[in-house]
Amino acid sequence: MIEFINVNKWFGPIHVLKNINLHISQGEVIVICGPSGGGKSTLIRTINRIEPIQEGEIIVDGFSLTNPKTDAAALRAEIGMVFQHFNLYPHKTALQNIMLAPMKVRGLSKKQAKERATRLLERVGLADKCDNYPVQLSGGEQQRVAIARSLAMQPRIMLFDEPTSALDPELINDVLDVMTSLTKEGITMVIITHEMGFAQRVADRVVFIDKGEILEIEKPSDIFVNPKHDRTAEFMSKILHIPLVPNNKKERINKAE
Amino acid sequence: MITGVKITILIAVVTSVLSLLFGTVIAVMRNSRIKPLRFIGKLYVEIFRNIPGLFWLLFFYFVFPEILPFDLGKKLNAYPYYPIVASIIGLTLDNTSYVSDILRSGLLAVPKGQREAAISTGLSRVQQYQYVMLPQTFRKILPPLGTRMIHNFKNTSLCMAITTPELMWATQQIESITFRGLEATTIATLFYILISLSLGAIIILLEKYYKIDIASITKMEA
Ligand SMILES: Nc1ncnc2c1ncn2[C@@H]1O[C@H](COP(=O)(O)OP(=O)(O)OP(=O)(O)O)[C@@H](O)[C@H]1O
Ligand SMILES: [Mg+2]
Repeated sequence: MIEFINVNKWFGPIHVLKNINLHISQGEVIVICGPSGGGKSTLIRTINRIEPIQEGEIIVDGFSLTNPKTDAAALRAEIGMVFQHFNLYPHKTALQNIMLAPMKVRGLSKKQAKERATRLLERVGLADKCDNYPVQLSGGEQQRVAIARSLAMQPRIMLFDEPTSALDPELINDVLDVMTSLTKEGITMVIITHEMGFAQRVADRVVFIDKGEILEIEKPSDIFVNPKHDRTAEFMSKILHIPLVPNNKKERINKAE
Repeated sequence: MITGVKITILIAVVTSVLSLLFGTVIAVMRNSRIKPLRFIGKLYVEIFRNIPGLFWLLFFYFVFPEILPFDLGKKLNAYPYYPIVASIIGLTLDNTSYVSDILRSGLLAVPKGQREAAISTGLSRVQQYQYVMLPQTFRKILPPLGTRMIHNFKNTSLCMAITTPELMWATQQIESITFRGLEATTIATLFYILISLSLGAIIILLEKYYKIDIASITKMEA
């Protein structure tokens, strides 16, 4: 579904993505984690070509993003994106936020779009907030509207860039619940998050990125308990608040004993 | 005098609408990633903002017909409404430079994430501007835009210099025929104040109408 082949990207002199190779199958749920500035956001933003790449190739749903003939707008319509700061349109109500793209891109009538939007708002538990403007919604509610806005395009891929990290702790679970329900629908999901409990529950694989490199791609059960790399171990222990020793050291320790 | 008021209003309305239209185009051009477009937009603003509006009125009335080929110029001069047309062209070009600058600053203040959200749902470039960025820009710049439109309205009085029969011109005519300058000027002044105040009131009504939107936009950016 999504394939990175030797992808390199620079911001001016900074090498932000280094030789990325990653194959994500249809319906897979991928969690990306790693230290700040490591290139997580940049990586998922290349998937819908908000960020262009300088080297390598990315193939999404069979279309090469580096091919100038690829219709980026059409492809983006199939890829939902949820941002850390929600990015709802402040001049539109919850319902209008959701209705815009289905009407303008998919050509739905106003009535059809409204039906779809209403259904989605029900689904994310906000049926009573249709006519609220973003300013009249809590952060958690805004994020759920933002998810509904992406879902309204019936995407085959959903990208999440730290969807809960701007939220108060008591609001996080509502958003995670909505995301968990999506994992059961066969949508391919790429999620940047540091909610490791959530990752453990839903992820098929966890990708650890540091300094622009993919250091590990593992099943969640492995990467949390048995990280291979020092840096992964260090990061995981900080996030999980438990001491972790990387595999290679364990072996050394075992041998020493 | 009433004809003068009508023509003043006509010129003010037409130039305001046109300069809003062209101003939007110039502002979007200046926000473009295509360098030549940005340059043209910038050039336009610099040319028209740095030369007095009166110059452009005189230019379009006196000079422009002269430099036209064939007898197009003569035909224009013979056209009885040409002063009004020249007034509209001159003032629109002048006002557009200011309006586009106000719009551009508003556009720059729309957070980057708004455009990214719009892009990621598959909206085309035009749609991104049409439904996401420009509506927010307009709500945000209502106050300075309103001031600019009042300014433009008052600038219509400059058009008397090219014999456009607007309010100021009519006042002068009445004065020179009836010698009742004080009365005529007082009434004209009242008209100007009345219309300016109405314009201000319209802006306030618009701001009220978009109150939630504007609050929402301001708060979301904080
Ligand atoms: N538009 C940009 N221009 C220049 N440099 C950028 C830009 N965006 C990101 N960078 C740089 O690229 C690197 C990777 O940034 P990125 O946002 O992808 O990291 P991240 O892993 O998402 O970090 P965080 O956890 O803080 O969100 C950083 O060094 C950052 O400073
Ligand atoms: Mg990031």
